[in-house]
Amino acid sequence: MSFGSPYFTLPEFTYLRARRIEEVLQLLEEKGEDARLLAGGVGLISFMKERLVSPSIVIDIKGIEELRGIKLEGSKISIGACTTLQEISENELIRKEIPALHQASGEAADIAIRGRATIGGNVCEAIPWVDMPVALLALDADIHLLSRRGERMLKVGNFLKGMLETDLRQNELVTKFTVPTPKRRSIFRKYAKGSEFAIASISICVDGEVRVVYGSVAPTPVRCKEVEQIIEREGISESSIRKASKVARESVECMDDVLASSAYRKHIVGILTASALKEIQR
Amino acid sequence: MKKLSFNVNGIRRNTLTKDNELLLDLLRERLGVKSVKAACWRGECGLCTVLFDGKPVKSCLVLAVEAEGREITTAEGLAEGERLSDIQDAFVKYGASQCGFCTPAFVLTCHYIIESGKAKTEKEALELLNGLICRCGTYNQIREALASLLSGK
Amino acid sequence: MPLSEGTVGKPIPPQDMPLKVTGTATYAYDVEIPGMLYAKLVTSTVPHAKLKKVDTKRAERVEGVLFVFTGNEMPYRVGMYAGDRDLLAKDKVRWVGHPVAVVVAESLEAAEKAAEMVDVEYETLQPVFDPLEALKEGAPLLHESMHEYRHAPAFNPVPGTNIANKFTLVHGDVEEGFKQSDVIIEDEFRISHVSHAYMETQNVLAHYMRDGTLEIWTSCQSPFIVRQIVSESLGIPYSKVVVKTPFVGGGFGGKAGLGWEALVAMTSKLAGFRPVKLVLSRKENFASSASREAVIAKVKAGFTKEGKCVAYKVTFILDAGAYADYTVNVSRAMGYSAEGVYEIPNVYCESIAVYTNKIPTTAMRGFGYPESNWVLEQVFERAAAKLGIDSVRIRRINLLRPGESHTATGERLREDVGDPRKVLQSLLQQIGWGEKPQPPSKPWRIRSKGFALCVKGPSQPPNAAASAIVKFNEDATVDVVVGTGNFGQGTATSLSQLVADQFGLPVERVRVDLVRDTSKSAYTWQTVGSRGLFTDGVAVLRACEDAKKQIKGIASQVFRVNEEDIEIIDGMVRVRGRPWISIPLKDLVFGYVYPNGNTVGGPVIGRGYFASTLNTYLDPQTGQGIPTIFHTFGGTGVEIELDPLTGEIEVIKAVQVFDVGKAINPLLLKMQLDGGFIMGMSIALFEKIKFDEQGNILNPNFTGYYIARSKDIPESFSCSLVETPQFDGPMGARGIGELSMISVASAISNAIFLSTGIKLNNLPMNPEEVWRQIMNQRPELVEQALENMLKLTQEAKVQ
Ligand SMILES: Cc1cc2nc3c(=O)[nH]c(=O)nc-3n(C[C@H](O)[C@H](O)[C@H](O)COP(=O)(O)OP(=O)(O)OC[C@H]3O[C@@H](n4cnc5c(N)ncnc54)[C@H](O)[C@@H]3O)c2cc1C
Repeated sequence: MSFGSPYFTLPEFTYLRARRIEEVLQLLEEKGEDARLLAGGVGLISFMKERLVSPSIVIDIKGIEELRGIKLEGSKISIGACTTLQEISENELIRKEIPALHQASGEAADIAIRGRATIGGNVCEAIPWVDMPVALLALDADIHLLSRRGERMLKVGNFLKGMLETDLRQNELVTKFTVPTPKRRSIFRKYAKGSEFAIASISICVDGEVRVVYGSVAPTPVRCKEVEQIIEREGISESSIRKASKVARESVECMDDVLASSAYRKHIVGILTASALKEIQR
Repeated sequence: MKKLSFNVNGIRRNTLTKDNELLLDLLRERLGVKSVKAACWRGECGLCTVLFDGKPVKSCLVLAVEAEGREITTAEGLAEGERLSDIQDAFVKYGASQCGFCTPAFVLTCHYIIESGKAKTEKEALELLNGLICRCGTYNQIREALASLLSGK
Repeated sequence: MPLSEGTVGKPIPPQDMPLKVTGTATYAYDVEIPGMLYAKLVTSTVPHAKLKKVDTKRAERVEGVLFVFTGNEMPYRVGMYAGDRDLLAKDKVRWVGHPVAVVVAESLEAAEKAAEMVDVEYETLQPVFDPLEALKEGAPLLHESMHEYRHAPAFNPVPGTNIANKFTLVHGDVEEGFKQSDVIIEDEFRISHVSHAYMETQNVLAHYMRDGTLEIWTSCQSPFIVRQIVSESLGIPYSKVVVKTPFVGGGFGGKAGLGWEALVAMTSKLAGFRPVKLVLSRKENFASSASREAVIAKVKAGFTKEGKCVAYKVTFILDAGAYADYTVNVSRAMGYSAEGVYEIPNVYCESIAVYTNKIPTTAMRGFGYPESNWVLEQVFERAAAKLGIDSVRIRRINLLRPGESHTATGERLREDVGDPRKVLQSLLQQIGWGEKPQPPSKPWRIRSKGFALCVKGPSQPPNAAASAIVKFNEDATVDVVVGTGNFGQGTATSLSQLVADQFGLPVERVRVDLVRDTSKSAYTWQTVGSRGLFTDGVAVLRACEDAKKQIKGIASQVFRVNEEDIEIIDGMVRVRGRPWISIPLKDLVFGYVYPNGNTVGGPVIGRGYFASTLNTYLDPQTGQGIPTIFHTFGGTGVEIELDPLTGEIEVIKAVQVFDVGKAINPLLLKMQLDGGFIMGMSIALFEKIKFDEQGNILNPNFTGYYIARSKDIPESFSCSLVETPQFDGPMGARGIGELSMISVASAISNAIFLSTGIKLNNLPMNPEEVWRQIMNQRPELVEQALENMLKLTQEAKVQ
């Protein structure tokens, strides 16, 4: 994360404020590569300042009502792409039904950033250290994409491809995320002492299929099948936790970066596994 | 150049801006609102915090055009006439500022914390300040100032 | 409150607080001049290379760009101590971030666009990043023309090598000392590069005017040194250089000494005498300004079985980076502070500042003392453990004795320097030494206590002076003119208190001007080294004496008594013993007017100065002499928790005890002690500038370079003051600014060592580093902690 910019100013672009989804899709169809969507702007503005991207058109989508809000849709909970992390963390439905998402959004960044940053931007930004994708993956959430040519629905895990890489097409917009319920037995924890971002994070869901996901350890969040199997097989007990912690440490591949070495991350992965399982056991 | 119209500390400001201008620069350079500082220009230090429709945002990560029709509050705007606001008073009393460069941002965020009732305890309040850096290390004095208001003095 | 009770000793909030809380205090960052142009640096992308060509053509064509200047147009060398720096790189670049050109444009946007278009051609040279490598024969040489540098007399650079300064301290016979020793402690310590991370980045607005006057607004600690550097290097008379410094958004040593002023001044001149402003971004500030050096320390210490330290041998290798203008003096101070608060008969210390192809380095709060302290205080703790005597005893045995002992540099300590024994006693009491710590917040954590002692004085040239003017106004309010800077210490408020008490005035009637202006402010050498209150305070009190003398002179005529019989109390001038004969100050301070209009006396303006009669240069072979103007003794105690699961250290309680001589303003003191603790803790636990193999900084931002935030601070802070008056200090006071962070890291590592036996030799002690040391030294602690956590009953809270 050797980010940091010598520049104060942004490259030139034209700013357009979209009111309706249709407008956005039209613009994307026409401008494609030259256009970028702006939701909370926390990521995009930093990237522009770093000269990592220089779109000629910036389309502000945060004013589009249909892209915001949290709803129960049948057995799923849907979260509009432009819903802010603060809104998610303060939402009662999320707090009760999806603790992992409540925790991930509530502990991300700080109050000023949470008030701007959106879940859509957090996922589309595709950097390794963010928190929402980790929880979404553990929750088996779907991401909904829309273009003039139609709608697509993908698992979040399939959408994220790598560092700064997603499956988003140039003409597409993320409209919402849906989380199948029940997901009450879910948790998100991160370790970030002396760091602005997580050095490593974990999200576990044991409602239905067991899913155990680690964040900040690789370019995209990773599932750990080995740990999942232990829990599937043995349930959560002192001995299974002990085993899971060890297996996690041994089997989760971790990256080296400026926040931590791979060896330390592996260790923290083991500790997070134990403490998160311990908590979910309650 | 685009026309832009919004309120700063309750006063209507009509100004010109460019699409790629940041709210931080508009406030400081065009409107002369110098209480808004900056130290990292990428959302980490929080010194450019302003209240945007009452809520804290980091103005180095907001485009100026996004302020159209909004209400921006800065540290200059908290005092009423000659009277400092409660949080400003508490900062003075407890010595919650050294070099003072971060102080406007802390004052605004603390003001928001108190007004919004988002923190019940001192500890929660300190957590909510984690987007701000004070290099002089006045956090303990800020804690005292906050505590004096949280406990209703 | 009767005024005669005085304001000294009262916890008065800083007088400038209303400006700060409303955001209306002005900083150099806020200053604009009509017609101002914007400057942007173009910096080197390689660590070590010959500059083949700097092609500015493309950049000059950008709309709004007026000029692009390169090193050839600015053939000036600048510096305060080492004098090793060109304004812009000329023949060579020496680190990634070395400025090679400066763009001047009508807008920042244009300047930034153009900066990307300056084409620089390099012929790369072998870089050297490791100071130990740089010391080897045949290592790439950074400064080929070191012999031409105009270094100050106190330093010993070695031309033909990468040694910017070599300082040696010798007394007694260290090898003889080792022979007498029963126990030897030997170890190696490493300290990382640290960023001052003052919040206001470096910025300068310079206007070179047609009449030859150069006006400079700058965010600096020492306007008079800026004037000196600019005048001497550009060859302008001092009176033509006017340096103005309003409030400063933090300095911590990083804004003392050499800054960007001379470069921006020349840019203004070459840009047709127009005002030019340069503001560094945070990344630029990391990459192109100076930070605190990294250190490798090798130590060997010998103790008798009673615990007396009889031999101490230490080598400090300072990774000074590409330029070491101020670090040469840091190496000197690190060397002569090696013995800390102890009297050690046989010492050999070498402290070597070494050039490498990394960021330049400079002074930082503590000035070498935190580094030497961290080595020494840990050595003492380990020696005590090895000898089986306790931490307190080993310190008592070795502690300097005022009135009797000689310091490391051979200075006989005066009786009134302070009382290290009382400090230690009070520190132990405050942290409840000997009492068990509270149970840990989580059952698997290890809670423990530790402490460390320290001493420091300002390291300044022997003749570094200060001065002050005390001017009465018609209504007997007072304007105080000093040179000491305003970056949060609150010195101006303390000085107001001193003045108020001299005349029995309410403190509100005294104003210390807040903008420093070298053409109007009273001279002070620098605001560094914890010297402000001491030096400028002495000057202010002398100026008060001078003013009083003038007032008494007038009053003696009016009252027809001797001057000695006049006293000034509660804002009144009166005759001693006959208080009914009195006149309000305001009727005297502009001369006394008789009923018929005859007037005696005129406006009262007092002046005073501080100059040390004590200091000497240090002997170049032995480092003996008197380098500082006072010594402040103190110490830090902590109660901490170590989480063996993650390696994280959390400080729960912070205790600071200092012998400040006299607490002029206890609130300001508390602010310094708490703030210094937090900064010291942040540096101890988190801060490290990281480099890749090419010398690029990996974390030039506050995400990767983490600084303690509000949630990281201890639950409780307590401080306690010892007040042994210093006879030549202002009202007995001594300096404290830097002291508050010197022994913080040492106290923390000692707490870890005492509870676990784990030796922490590398700073910072961040979770990963501590985890590594646990794994190396006591891996079972991690397993035990994990088991403890797993065994927790369901109800107990895990997080
Ligand atoms: C100091 C700091 C600390 C932070 N700490 C954390 C942390 O602890 N945890 C954490 O998770 N994150 C953290 N972040 C990251 C932050 O949360 C993300 O940058 C933010 O969520 C991005 O969301 P946004 O709405 O601002 O995105 P934008 O900046 O608006 O957009 C980001 C990218 O996503 C694209 N995009 C946005 N919305 C859509 C959409 N609906 N459809 C298609 N594409 C879209 C944009 O075009 C752009 O490319 C931190 C950031 C900062 C600056």
